[in-house]
Amino acid sequence: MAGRVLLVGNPNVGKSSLFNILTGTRQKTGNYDGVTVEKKEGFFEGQEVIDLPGLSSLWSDGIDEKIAIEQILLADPSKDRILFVADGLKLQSNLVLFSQLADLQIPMAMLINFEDELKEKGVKVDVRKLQNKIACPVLLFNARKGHGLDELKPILREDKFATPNAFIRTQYEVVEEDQFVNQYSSVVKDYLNNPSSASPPEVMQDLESRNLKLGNFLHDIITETSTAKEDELTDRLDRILLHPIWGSLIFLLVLFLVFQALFSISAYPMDLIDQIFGALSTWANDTLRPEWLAGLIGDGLIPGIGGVVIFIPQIAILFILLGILESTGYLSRISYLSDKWLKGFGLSGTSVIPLMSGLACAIPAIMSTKRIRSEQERLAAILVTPFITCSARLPVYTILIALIFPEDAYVWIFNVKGLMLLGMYLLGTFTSLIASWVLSRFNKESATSIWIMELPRYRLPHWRNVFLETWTKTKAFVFEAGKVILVFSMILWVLAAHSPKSEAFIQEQISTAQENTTGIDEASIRLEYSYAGYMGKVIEPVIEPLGYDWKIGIALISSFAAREVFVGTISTIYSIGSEEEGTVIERLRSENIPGTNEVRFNIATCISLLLFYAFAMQCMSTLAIVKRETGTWKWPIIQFIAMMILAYVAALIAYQIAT
Amino acid sequence: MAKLSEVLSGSLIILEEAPSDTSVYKVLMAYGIFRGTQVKILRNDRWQDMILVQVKDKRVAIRKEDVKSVEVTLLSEVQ
Repeated sequence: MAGRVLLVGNPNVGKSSLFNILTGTRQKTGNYDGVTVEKKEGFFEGQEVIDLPGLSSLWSDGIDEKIAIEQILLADPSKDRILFVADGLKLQSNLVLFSQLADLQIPMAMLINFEDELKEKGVKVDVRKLQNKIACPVLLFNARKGHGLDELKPILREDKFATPNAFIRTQYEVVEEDQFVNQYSSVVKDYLNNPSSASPPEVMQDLESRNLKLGNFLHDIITETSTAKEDELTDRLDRILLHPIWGSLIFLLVLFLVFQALFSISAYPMDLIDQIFGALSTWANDTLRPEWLAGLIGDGLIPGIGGVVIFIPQIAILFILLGILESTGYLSRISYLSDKWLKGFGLSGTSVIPLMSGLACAIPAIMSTKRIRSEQERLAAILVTPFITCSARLPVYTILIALIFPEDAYVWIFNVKGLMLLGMYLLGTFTSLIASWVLSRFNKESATSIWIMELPRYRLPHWRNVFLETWTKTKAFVFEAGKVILVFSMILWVLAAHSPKSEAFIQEQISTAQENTTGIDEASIRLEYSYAGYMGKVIEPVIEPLGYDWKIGIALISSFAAREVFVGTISTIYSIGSEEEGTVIERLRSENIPGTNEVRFNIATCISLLLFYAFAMQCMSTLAIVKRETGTWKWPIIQFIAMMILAYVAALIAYQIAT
Repeated sequence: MAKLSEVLSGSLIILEEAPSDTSVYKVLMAYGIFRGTQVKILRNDRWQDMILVQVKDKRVAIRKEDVKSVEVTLLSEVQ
């Protein structure tokens, strides 16, 4: 075998956890439908493994499900294999899909996942009997703990897959085996290309007869020693968490605690990192020689790296908390609770998962909209998700909020900065909903899709997956966003430390300025006549009504690639433009409007900047993914222009009112 | 016969006839709700306009408005 191993199964059966174990990659996993929305590729000992989106049957027509079916139909039985993953507690409904795959006669093996929960529930699956009946390997497995992996590896290494019996025959049954396979495969292929090719009664009859036959087929394979079919804990928790009043209050409380924790817990490591990098920068400037090297390292490299590292605690805590909500099964309940009021905005409870994922990053969030059945609702979700406060905005908000409020500002027991941050997150969510409502006004047809969702049992968080995912995402932020930030910081240092004018000209400007105005820094004059200074001044007339000067203009230009670049840029610019030592926040607080005693980062400017970053589309990667998902440049261009206009107008109004 | 969206919490029902809207039935089947399958109504949530059902070991939430045309047979009813 030198072909591919396709991981196939219903949604939420643990395929992604298995894929992570087999390939050593860190794909996102969660306790809700639709975590995998497109195929993911990895390798197990040189063997290509492909994780496909979950699907309930070969008659599915969702966008993500079609991706899976296409890959299955492309499989070459002589070399490709299917590793079917089933939820042990839902074997009958999972085997509907398995029986369809068996009809395609591709070599397969079956993993029955959640072995631990089968034991807990007192459910026994006679694996040997099942294996004999279907004539292909069957293993009990626990993807969360990796139990059963030792038995699985030889199947993969030694190609012990086997072509199962076409054990459930339906109306497609014909006498000759080859004819049967070909007919079923071509019927499914036709349906994939044109869902009206198979009549609804034909599809229903196929699914119904498989389900009915499976009930008889499994009666001597599954034995349930426990009569308690209901999960009491889930029932009890749902009575509270889905309660019209308590459920909504608990949801708001959970959100509130998440944002309080973000600021309160992360404050200590962030302060420490800020001080360490401040001290390192001072040390580099004082001890390194020649002077240009000291400047490059002390004012360019160290503040640039510091601007990335300082946000690691906050981003890691956000990902840990979101990971816990996902893996416990609570995220599906949020979907349930939010459907009614999302409907009023032209969305449905299904959209809440992309919107919540947008808290981490808009890119996977937009990709996860494939689960939304209605095209109109999907487009709306794609267009409004970038308003949700992503982790890239977090560093920008943190630094601006810290400039507005003093240290240790509390209202009763609540950290004021945490409350302000929660406000920014609510603003992002509210804006995305209003934008969606506006979009829904342009649609004549009802935009929402049929809302149906499995509410999984509550589970304890799978800590290993939560921490692995946090590690992967934080690492991605540091090394992906960090690379961009670092490169921009270095380029900015070069642009800010060098001037198109001669040294004599600059000295003359310094002397003139110092004669006319007291308290003017030499470094500030040098920055003004640098390449970066000239760039900032080009856009200054446009941004001045928003309360920004040419220095902030440099940060705005550089952060068009990615929002978080703002922080690295501002750290670098104000390290160069100030002779003050200390942390970035201290430097920004001490920055005055030239020739006055007025602080540059006053409340009006900070609020204006907060609003600008809340609404502006400053992420090239998101625009690229919107183009990919909508298949046209029309929507990302409209999205970019609309968001930039909104950002400019909101920042302008806020600044003009606040001053 | 009763409307699925109007069945009280705690009732046991069965889908005897396939719903006339085949696209709705296809989605229901994807979640294990077939003709002949016994379904327990865990919650008829008037506040959220949702119906939460148990099909074998699976809990499935459905928006009531989307299944208002689906008719079911009551096997046992909670008064």
